Amino acid sequence: MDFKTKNKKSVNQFKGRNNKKNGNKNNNKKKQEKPEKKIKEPKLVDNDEDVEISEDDIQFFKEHGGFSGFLANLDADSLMDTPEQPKGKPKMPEKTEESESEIDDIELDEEDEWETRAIKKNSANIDNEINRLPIKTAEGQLVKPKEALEVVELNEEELKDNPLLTEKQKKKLEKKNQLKEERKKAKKAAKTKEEEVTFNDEEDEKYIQEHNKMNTKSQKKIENEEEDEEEEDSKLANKKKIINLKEELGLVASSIIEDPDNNIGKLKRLREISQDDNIAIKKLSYLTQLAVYKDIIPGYRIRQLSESEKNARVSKEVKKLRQYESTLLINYQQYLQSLDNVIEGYFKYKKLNIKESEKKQNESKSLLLIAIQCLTDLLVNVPHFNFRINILTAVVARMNIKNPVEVSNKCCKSIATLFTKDETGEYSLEAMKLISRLVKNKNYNVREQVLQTFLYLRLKDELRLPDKEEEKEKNKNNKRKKKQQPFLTRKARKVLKENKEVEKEMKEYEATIDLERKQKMQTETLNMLFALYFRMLKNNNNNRLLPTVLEGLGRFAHLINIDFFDDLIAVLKNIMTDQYKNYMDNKGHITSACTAFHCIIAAFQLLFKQGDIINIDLNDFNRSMYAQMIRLSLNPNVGKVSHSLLKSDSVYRSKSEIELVLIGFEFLFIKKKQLSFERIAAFTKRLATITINMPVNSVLAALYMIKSLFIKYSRLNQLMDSEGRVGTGVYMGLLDDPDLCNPFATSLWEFGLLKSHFHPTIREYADYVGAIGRNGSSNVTAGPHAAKYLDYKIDYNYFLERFGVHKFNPQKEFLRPIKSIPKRKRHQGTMYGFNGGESQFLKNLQKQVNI
Amino acid sequence: MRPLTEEETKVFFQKLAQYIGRNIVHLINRPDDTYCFRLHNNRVYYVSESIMKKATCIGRDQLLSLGVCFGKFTKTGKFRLHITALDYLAQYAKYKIWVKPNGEMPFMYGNHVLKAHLGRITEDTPEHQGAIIYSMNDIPLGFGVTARSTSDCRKLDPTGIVVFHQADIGEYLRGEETLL
Repeated sequence: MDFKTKNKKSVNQFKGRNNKKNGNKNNNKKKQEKPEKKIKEPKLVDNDEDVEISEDDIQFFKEHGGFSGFLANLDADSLMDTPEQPKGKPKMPEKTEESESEIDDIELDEEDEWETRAIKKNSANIDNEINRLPIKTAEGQLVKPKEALEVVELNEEELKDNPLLTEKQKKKLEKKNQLKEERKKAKKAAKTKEEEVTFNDEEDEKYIQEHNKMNTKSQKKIENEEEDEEEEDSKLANKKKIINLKEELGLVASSIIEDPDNNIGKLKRLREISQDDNIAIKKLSYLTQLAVYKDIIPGYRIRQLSESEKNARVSKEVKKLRQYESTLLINYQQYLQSLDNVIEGYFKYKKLNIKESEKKQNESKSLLLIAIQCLTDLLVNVPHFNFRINILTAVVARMNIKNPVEVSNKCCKSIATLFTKDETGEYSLEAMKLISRLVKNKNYNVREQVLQTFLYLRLKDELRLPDKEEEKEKNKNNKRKKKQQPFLTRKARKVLKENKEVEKEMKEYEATIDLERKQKMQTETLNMLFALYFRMLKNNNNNRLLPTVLEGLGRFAHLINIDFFDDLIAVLKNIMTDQYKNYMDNKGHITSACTAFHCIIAAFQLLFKQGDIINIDLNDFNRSMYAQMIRLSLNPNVGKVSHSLLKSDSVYRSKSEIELVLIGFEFLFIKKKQLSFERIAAFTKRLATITINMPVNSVLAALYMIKSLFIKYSRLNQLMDSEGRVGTGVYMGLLDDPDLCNPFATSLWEFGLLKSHFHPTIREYADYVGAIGRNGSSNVTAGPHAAKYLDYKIDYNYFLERFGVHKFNPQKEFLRPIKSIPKRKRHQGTMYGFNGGESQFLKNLQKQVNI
Repeated sequence: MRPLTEEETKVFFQKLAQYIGRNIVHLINRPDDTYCFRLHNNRVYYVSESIMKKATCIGRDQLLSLGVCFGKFTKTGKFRLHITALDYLAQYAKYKIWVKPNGEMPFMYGNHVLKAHLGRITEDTPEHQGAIIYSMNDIPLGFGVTARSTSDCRKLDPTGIVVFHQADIGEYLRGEETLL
């Protein structure tokens, strides 16, 4: 670069600017200046030397684009509002022109370096804090640099070796260069110049203003958060410091949220606070940063600029945006890194097995939990943003941590939420990959929750395997289209082709989710899921996890390729028989029949979803279900309603045994017409038999199922007929084969017992169901209580939940008549996993009871 | 009328086991009454003990039939199940096949069961195994031997044979005089 010419130029400009400065805020004067410049420029073109200079200037301008962008973004109004000078800021001595030009060059190099660093996302930031100006706090005190706020932008920090004033001057020089290059934007630039005049005070003023804006909404929110997290600190000085820092946190955070464009640089200050030794402050700052990032992170992913893009000329706005984005990205990355360091550090430290005081342990644990919470929160709320994979990896890796339990709980929950929220299928796929790797690495010995997250995958309803029929139709359509296509000339075709390309591009930019891509993602996810499931079933050395695996298998059974059907059924049968055998041999203290029932239901599910091709009678599974139902009456926890991973929903909670049996009943008898009456009668009889020995909610649920069987198969009224025996032979209640036990030789005498049950609702309901049984399918003359139980929302799930708590209170146990019966819908049993409406219904019921 | 010899019992039970498997036990160990198998005129009858005792009063030439005829031994010493055994076979059947309404008549005229008429089949039915044929209303129609296993059935074309015909209730009309 030609130094001399440049110097001269800058000198000229400097002089010009000085003039302007003298004429503070004089708009007229500036407008007068503008034409001057315009006249100057053509001259420059004539002069060879000057042309060269102008090219250098372009270069210079390019490299320092961020500055001008920053200037352009200043808020003119706020400048005009506050003309007063802050007291705290000492005036800087004016520099000579010579020294300034030197600095100019040094700065150039420095900035070159910085720019490349920024784009490479190199996290190493220079943190030498020298020559910081003292800054005034809310109380009006002057604070020395160490705690000074980061008011200036990040790129300005790089220049902090220079006195403040020279920075400003330089900026103005650049501005002038820019003016020369971009004549069209002359007007805009002039506007910025107006702002420049008061620039010196502007930042400080803003800062002060922000101090006064203590009561903004976001501020309050953060403050509350902080209060919750606050820990008591005994030392007074510390306390004061903490209070100060807290205040600062709030201020900085709110200022960033209010105007992220300009205050993005303050993120660094937040980060600095988080490096405090005090645990409470650390936690607070992490949470604050979480809130800030959640707020300011844009709705798109920030993309790395390619080399050509970097070099290309871009408009001021774009430059500014890029600057903003890269700053955000760097800070975000460092924030994530610090979170990760906290987590990693905790576990590393734990490995060393150093004994510590309890307090310290608690502290580090709480910090760890905060860090985990931040990560999971980010994962759930801004999964589209950069570093998702990193967060995912961090979270997934902690899904299987046994101690402290909260960590894995939180991680699993967040993954589950991610699955449910995932619109594109992309996140699920990534998470799935990571989790399956984790499970493999742990040799399939993971916590149950890890596997439970899969139940939340949005594959059940959304993913449809391509049907053959659909494909056929598609082909047909294609053929038709080909026929219909009119003749086009070569030119027209060319135009059409171009149009298509444009459309394709437009599609890319549209934010809509591509269905095809989603399908692809989900298919891949599904493949991984099944690979994992199958391997776990095959290994089968881990009884603990089998119910979860089987439940998942059942949930997605309709998506399994039919080619696997035989193998899968065989595996399921193996597991089922093994389990039953173990139970009969009294090995392994198995009390719950869940695994077996899950096998049975998974098999039914498989058959139900794919049974169209050939209708198969799953004899072994039927028999096993019939045999194992007896076990339910020996288990006091048969109807225990457990909670799901995400507490709010009842759809995903793991099923109790009675529920599983009833689902099995649905598959066998309600959803498809069962052919063999002997079998239906046998199952009904056995269900009635076990009701005698079950808790209240299970009895009611079972009675509900018997009722639906009565309605669907009217021939079952033979079972309620105590006088005439229809069949010959003897009922063999102990035989474990529904086809051979000859149920029509007996009757459902259990209803007689249930009618004198201690529980009033059971008494009523048994009466009602018995009446239905005797009358065949009619609901009309089903006794005095019929109206109460007509509501279609009453199903077995309702009973299970409503009477699930074992606290008997005779006053409350009566089911009150429902005043207004909603419009009846056609109700064909409840779907597996479908449970909608009960909770709402319960609430309504509760209200009515309270009234 | 005499009890079966060991050789005969073996042949007979082997045949029976093809259809009802281990449920033969239920035929003999009945909680209501004791039942037994008796051979008379080369035919095997399933008869309750009390009736059997009463039948001893009747001479061999005069006794036409007692209890339920399960089938007869052929001259070569093999055993053939008759349609009259269907009631018991159906009750204890191991493998069942349901035929669609449009397949009922063809089967009852003595034809094999085709894939197109197959309404439903027990899972895991092996090849060449005795199976009982039911109508879709769960009424036993006859029995036969499976030509394909369940999994093979899935890939079969509609005209392929699923079950080879052995006996059907149409025989009560068609073979009235020989049935006895």
